[in-house]
Amino acid sequence: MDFGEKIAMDSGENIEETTTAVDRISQLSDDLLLHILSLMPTEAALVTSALSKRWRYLWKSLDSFSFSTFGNYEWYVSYVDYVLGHSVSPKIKKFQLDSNEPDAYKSDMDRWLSFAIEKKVENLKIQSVSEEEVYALPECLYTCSSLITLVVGFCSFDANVAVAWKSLKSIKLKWMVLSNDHIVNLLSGCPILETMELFRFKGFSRLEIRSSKLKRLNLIAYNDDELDHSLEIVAPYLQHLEICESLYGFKCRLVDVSSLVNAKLTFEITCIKDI
Amino acid sequence: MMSLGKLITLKTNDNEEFKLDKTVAVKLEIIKNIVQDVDCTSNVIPLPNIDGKTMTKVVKYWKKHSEEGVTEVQLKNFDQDFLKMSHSELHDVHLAAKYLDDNQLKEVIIQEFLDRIKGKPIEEIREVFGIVNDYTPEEEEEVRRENAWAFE
Repeated sequence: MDFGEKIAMDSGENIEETTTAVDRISQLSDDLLLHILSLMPTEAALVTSALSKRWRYLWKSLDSFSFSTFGNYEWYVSYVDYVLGHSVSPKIKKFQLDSNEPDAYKSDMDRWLSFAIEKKVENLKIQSVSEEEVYALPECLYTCSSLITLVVGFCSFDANVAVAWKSLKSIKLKWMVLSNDHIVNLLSGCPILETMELFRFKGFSRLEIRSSKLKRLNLIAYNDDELDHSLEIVAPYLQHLEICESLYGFKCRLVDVSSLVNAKLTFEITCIKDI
Repeated sequence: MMSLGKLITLKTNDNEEFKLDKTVAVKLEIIKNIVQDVDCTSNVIPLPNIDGKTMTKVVKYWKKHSEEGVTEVQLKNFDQDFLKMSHSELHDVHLAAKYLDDNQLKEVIIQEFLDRIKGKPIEEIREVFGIVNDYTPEEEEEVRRENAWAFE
């Protein structure tokens, strides 16, 4: 029975009231409701279980999760375990994990990531909060072939364990210390990568991109704590390049960017005036 | 398969016809696909799942978003006005966008639904959308206890 009709009959209201009552979100399909829930932080999606019976178990079918640390350690871990433990979705489209204490949560984060990897996660975002609290990516992630987009921040990974992200199209690395070996490992393990973005990066001095698929490179750095940073870029198939850097101490040499169509270069200059 | 003429006519389930200029239509992958799928000799594409009122909105959106030289700011303002509709109208446009496989329009509608409930307490969401609380007070208490993490 339609609720709109029921309300009108129960309260003896007129037709106009019925029309207004029918104009409701409950008319929407479960698919659409789930899509809306998937764009919220997971705890907000969970709140909707209290709306009405229809909403009670809807969140269990979510295929997108967004967790960030709250409350005390045990409380947060039991919350994420509870949500994932009740998940009935066979696949995970989006999985976002923000942690402020990766050392304390390491084994839990590894477990949650394994869960996402088993469910063939497509879009993954993992972030810690500071250089002192870096999260070491678990080895099971290195060969996650379902990944399409990946964002990692304040994380570390082993340059000697080969990555194999064969479906990955876009990668964004933020606040990462990366050696030349890391870069080689990454680029050789992502055969169809199209976009690479590095934000506040450190460590490497050579970026050699030989893949014809990789068309877009963004280097957003402003690495003010490193006085001398030289970088050589060899990327014969690159079409779009954006560099945003502090001019102070940054020496960039474009060895081969012969296919470039667009380039956006922004340099920050610090002027010091002697008094 | 039929060829693209100067005008494409879209015909809704209540027989309203929308003539789209080829330059607009061609920019729309969706229409191109439909044109290829529909086996007819005329340039009329039937849309059995969409009514005229809804299609008017969709076409308005398409036209604006394929306008020559339109700026991001103009599109943002347009979208803001465009989305000023009731929940059920929004729902109809979503169903149309889904049928027409227009992902951009679908995302815009879903984002609008999200904005309408984001950050609102349960009681307010119920009120805004006229969701009838069919829980008994005991049941609701149980749900809140079950999912206590979210209600802290």
